[in-house]
Amino acid sequence: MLSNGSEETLVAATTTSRRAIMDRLESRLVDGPELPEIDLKELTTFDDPLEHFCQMVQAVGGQPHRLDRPEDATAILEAIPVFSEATRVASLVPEIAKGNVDVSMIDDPHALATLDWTIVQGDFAVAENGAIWIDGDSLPQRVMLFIAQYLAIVVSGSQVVSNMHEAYERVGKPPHPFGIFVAGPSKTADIEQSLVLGAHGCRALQVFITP
Amino acid sequence: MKLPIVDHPTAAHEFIVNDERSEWHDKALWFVRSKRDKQAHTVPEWEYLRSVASQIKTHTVANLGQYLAEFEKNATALGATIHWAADADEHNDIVLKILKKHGTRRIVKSKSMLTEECGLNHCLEANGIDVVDTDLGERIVQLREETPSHIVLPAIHIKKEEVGETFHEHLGTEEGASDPKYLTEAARGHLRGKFLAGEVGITGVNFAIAETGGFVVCTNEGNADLGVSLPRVHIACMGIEKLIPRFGDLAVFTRLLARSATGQPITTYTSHFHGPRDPESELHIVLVDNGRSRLRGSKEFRDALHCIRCGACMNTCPVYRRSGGHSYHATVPGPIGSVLSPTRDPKSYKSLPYACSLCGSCSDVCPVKIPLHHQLLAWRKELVGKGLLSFGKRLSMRGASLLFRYPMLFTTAGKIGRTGLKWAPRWMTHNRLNKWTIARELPEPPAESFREWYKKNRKG
Amino acid sequence: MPPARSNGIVYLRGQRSPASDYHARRVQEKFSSGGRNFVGIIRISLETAVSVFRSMSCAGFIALHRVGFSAVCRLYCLNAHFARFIQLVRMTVALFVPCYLDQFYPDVPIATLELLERLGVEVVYPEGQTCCGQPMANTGCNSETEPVAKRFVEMFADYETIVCPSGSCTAMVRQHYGDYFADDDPAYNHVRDRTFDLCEYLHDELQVSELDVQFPHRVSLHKSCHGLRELRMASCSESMTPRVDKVRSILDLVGGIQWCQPERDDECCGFGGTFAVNEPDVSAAMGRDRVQDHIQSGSEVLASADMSCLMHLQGLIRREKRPIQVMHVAQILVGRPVYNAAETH
Repeated sequence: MLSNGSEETLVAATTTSRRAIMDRLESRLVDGPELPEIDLKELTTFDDPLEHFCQMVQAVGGQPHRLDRPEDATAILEAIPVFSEATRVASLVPEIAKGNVDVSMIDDPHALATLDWTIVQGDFAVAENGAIWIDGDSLPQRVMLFIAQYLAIVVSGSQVVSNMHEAYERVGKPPHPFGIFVAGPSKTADIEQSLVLGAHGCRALQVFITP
Repeated sequence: MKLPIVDHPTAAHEFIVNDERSEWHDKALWFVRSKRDKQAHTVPEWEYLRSVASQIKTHTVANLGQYLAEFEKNATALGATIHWAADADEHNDIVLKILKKHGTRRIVKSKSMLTEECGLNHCLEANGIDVVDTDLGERIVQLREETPSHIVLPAIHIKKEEVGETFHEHLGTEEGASDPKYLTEAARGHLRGKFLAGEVGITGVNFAIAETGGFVVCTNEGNADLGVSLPRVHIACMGIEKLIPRFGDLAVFTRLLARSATGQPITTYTSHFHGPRDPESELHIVLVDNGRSRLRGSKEFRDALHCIRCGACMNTCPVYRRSGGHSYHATVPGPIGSVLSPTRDPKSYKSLPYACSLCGSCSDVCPVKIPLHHQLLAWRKELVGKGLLSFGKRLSMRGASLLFRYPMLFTTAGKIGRTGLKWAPRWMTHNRLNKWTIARELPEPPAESFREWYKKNRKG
Repeated sequence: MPPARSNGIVYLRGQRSPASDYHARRVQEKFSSGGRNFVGIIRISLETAVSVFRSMSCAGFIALHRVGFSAVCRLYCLNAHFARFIQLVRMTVALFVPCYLDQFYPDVPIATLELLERLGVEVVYPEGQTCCGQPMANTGCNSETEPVAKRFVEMFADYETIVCPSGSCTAMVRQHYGDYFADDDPAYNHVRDRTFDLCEYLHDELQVSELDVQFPHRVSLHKSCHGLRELRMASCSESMTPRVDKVRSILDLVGGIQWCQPERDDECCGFGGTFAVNEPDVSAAMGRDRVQDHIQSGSEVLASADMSCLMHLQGLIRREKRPIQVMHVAQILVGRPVYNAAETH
């Protein structure tokens, strides 16, 4: 319950300021150009977007794995010590890994604090920068992408666009409540420009590219 | 509030006098600039993108009221609460009220230059709220009770040994440790606890989209996302100029931002928020003016509102690299800061537009084509017009103008100068009063001027 | 607003380039007041002919376009060649000597003069000149700059072409005089359109393709900011737009140069005019870094098209007794021996 009419004063103050700001913006007419349309001829596209995507995943610190069959990912994962030794795994891609944490049953995201691995499906890949689009609607809890120590994203090699213009076209409108481009593992160079992979999010990123 | 007068040359001196540190700082930032160049070279349409981005921003600034109204309508329809703050104090007030409403004691905040500009941390701490800056660089400067020296690389002025000392004191790391991996790991553990304990998450906004009512936050560390995916309340603070008209425009800006800022093709995380997370969560967006609508009224400086806070101008600026961000005594330093700060307080920041050799590199790297070096020159004219140039300098310019209007005076003065230089004792010409000669020799005076030579050898 | 160059631009019917219009009028004024000598009369006659011809060529082009595009092309090409021929026959440039070169580095304008004369150009030195006004303008003192700028335009308006051995002074005239003149002021437009840095002039106007000069030394080039980023005389490292390097192209015509490349191709030297004394520490630090970079590249001659940069770098070199010399491009192009550019002969 609110006290001291703070909600009302909040709204009143904001209305006054809104009026003042909009007045200043509307009373001062400023000439400007038209909103430009992108000339598609100017944009770089790749002959082999998938190949370029794999190179860029590496460039941004991720590890790409091109698979003949989705099931091949399982063996690769099992071969990674931090996966085979992991105790809490949340997987939204059961054909690759069976997790033992059912995130859809979790109400409080804090409960995922001890998550070792998250495995999710990406919607499509972007060749120019190694990014993968993940639709928030596919995530029962958004935090699972960031809180796990390790992250794996599965994306189809037939779903690769060349650049961000094609990517946003593909994301489409109206956007869902949450969506994210993930490119590589979390990282920082804040200490003397020394690149360290694994800042606050995942320490490493595996990208499984299915046919 | 009257700000003290910032004397950039003196502040720069304190930084430069430590040769080794200044050189190290310069090299570190030049390295970031080179990474930017490498990335720009991989995009054949780089200059085209800059032109498009600039045009989008010019159009948006011209029609800002309309786009803000559109943004507000769409964001509200998605369930977000929009707040309007005329200035820094109001912004802080709004955030504080939201936190008080929820009885918040602990917040986590990702990088937001706007909240720095408004001095949010001080306000919240004064009200008993624990504020944790979760960006590693920001956390380092927070623990050291310093201010960030760069808008993207807040701790670029700090050596790893110094980070080690700070972490030893506050995080209990080993004394003398300086390995970045070890220190980052320590920070990871320390901040994990803070994320989990955070009651409200505060972020900045990289881009707000009028068409959809959403906004984008770009990070490499994942701290913004961790910060807002755990608590139920997300407060996003943005300057009103961060708006772009269409969802598709994000393509242009996401291609330019990270490449310009850190020389990466894109940040690790580019998160798009449209409305609150779920019915039990709240999303507050605070729109801040704080002088921006007034700046929009200036034909000369309006383009500074294009700024997407990438920091490329700082990385390329030879003055910034050698004098350090703190020498500007401003929230945003470097070339863009030297344009923005005097708009806030011309008297206090009058030395900043002169902290520039007019090399023009900043204008060339700016992804949104702000004509920075021309604006810095324009600021000089403004400052002279406001009577803020020192009397001595004004007098010497008047004197120079006089000489240049009368060739007889000019040639006489030149002759006196050359003769004086030839015959006067060294202590008279090369001394501390003559700032040129502190580090340099004056030119050797020639026997005759060009016009004297011409008269003898060519005329007639 | 008139374009930066009046060469090769088609005007609408009835419209004439303000520059050629103004010039035609001035020449007529001169002619009616009487040329002083034989050379003067020839010069004035030729100038009149060219001006009249230029005006006609535009109108002629428009009138003839009905006759057929190919016919017009042929005619226009002929016109262009003829205009060029006239230009070559009566090449006269006015030498604009920056104030500090006149008083402290006279060998640079002397070398410029000698070079142009060797290339068949008649060089005139308007003696009342002093300065372009840049020191005052860069400090923000517009009211002190205005009379100096006006004087400059008045002084140089009579000349078809103005050449200056300094990128920064040229940039001042071409890009920063707008504050002091009306947009359609013909004298200002003419001076603005026809003032060139020396290397620009050699590369774009004279199109020099050979020089009989040897300079067997290790040379590194300092790219002055104004020449680079205002006049766009070369590509710069942060811009993705490729541009011809006009200074280097001209220097490549000199035999024997062994090029050395500093690590940072185009970082500012730190002179910046009054910046050098307003921010002495930063200025000196920037200059020292440039000097060291050039030395470590193995260079013995630090060359530039702008003596202001070199004045600052030379000051540091001499104070710290660094093993490198500075020379202006003009001095290299006339084959001066390597020596401290401050010395005159």
